[in-house]
Amino acid sequence: MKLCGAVTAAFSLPAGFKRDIAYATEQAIKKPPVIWLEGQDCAGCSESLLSSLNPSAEELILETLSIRYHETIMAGTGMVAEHAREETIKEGGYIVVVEGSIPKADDRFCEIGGKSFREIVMETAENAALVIGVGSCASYGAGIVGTTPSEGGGVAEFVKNKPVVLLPTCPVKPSRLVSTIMYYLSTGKVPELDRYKRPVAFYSELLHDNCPRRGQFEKGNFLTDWNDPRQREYCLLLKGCKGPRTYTDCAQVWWNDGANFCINAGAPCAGCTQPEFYAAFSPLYDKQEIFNIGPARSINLDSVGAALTGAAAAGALAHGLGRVIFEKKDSQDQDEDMREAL
Amino acid sequence: MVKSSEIAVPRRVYHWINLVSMAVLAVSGWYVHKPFAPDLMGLMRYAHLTAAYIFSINLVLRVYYAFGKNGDWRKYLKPQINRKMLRLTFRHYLLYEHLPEGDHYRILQNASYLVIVILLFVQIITGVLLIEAEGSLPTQVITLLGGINAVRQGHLFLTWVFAAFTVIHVYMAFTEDFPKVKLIFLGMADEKYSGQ
Repeated sequence: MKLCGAVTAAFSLPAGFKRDIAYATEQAIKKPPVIWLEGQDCAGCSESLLSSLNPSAEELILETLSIRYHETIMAGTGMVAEHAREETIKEGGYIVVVEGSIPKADDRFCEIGGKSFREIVMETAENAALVIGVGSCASYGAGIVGTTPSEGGGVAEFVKNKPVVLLPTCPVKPSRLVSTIMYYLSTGKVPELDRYKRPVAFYSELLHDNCPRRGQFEKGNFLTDWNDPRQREYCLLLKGCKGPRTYTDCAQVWWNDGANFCINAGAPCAGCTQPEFYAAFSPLYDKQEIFNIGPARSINLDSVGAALTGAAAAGALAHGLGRVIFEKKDSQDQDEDMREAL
Repeated sequence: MVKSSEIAVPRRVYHWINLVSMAVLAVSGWYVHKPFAPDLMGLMRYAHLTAAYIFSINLVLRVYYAFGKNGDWRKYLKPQINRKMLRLTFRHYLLYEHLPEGDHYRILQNASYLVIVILLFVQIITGVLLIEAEGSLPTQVITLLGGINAVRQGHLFLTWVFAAFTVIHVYMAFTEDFPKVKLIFLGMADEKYSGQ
């Protein structure tokens, strides 16, 4: 019931919905079948889900959902496991959770049982009711966009004819995944999404505006030395925090049932909810002043600016010196002429 | 020196407001970028936004004035650039030859102002996008420009462009046309001066 309340609150639904959601959860005796696919991933999102405190992992797997296929946690292997997936596809109306990116360069970068991951995703999505991309890889492609030879793509780039919800963060926040599934089961609708197909409920506010260290920012207290105990609670902006450019509710809804979140633990925000993550948000632990345009990738913006202004100043100085040295000295009359001419 | 109305009062007022607000914007903007002293962020952000509004309104009014009854839009939008004039101007800059009669210096000067004014409007737009980043129109524009970080970097880079321009602007004004400096700041002219 606590979970149902949390789901209701997360999507700002009227309190009455709590009952609907509880009902939907009960209906999970008919449990919504879930197929969990892993592509080019690190299983970190699975790990994150299994570390969930409320609901606990066993509650989630054994009671809340009916996970029919999950490469990491299922007991079955080989043909038996694949058979379970095929059976579920035949039944239809299930939810597909995709973890990890799909290679675009060549199908052979990611194959499972001799079948390419792209094909597996496409055929599994065929009869699905809802497709959820979890984690930054499944949302936007490989985390390091454009730098991996496999050119990983997000699930929304492939699945076009089914409702797709993306839940970026590295890894996925379990409460978001469970809430999204619960919302879908109780209302039959996909939650309101933003332009990146992220539920507005989780991804509409700037982290910076809700940051517990915002006061330090306003006060001008910026952490510059990790070893200085006085700076322990200071704003992490100068240490590369991407909070001012990251849309997420991390500051309000902490991880693992409110245990903690990056900034509270003293780590700058990496911006993992944003499509810019990781390549366009690097470096991680430094304020980002590099250009993100092709070969200019490592050139520092302030260096360019300082060089530009410095060149202007040097040019003016040199020109001024030249004027003193080279200007026609018999120009008294000429100056007069010129002034008149002008 | 005598009082002169060579440069109309609105233009002089604009230039003063522009100078002060840009100086405030540069210092406070730099503080937001790289805080150089503790405990001032709130004040600096307030100063930056206040100066930004004053600067923007000032610029819009100046553009309005340029197209008004006594407007001077022609010299910015239709600079009389031709090959002969360019040749003479460059010889003047590179070889320190005296310019023959004519407004050679001012023609290129005005053309450069046109570019700068366009960039100033880009700067205003990027600035507004950074404050109001959450609406549906702003988010669309931000996406178009390549993300909020690109907008921030563009805002910062343009600041550097203006800094470089200011260096050249001040040098040129003082060395090429010092009487005009007195005109624009003080409204005073040497009796001999007859520029426009």
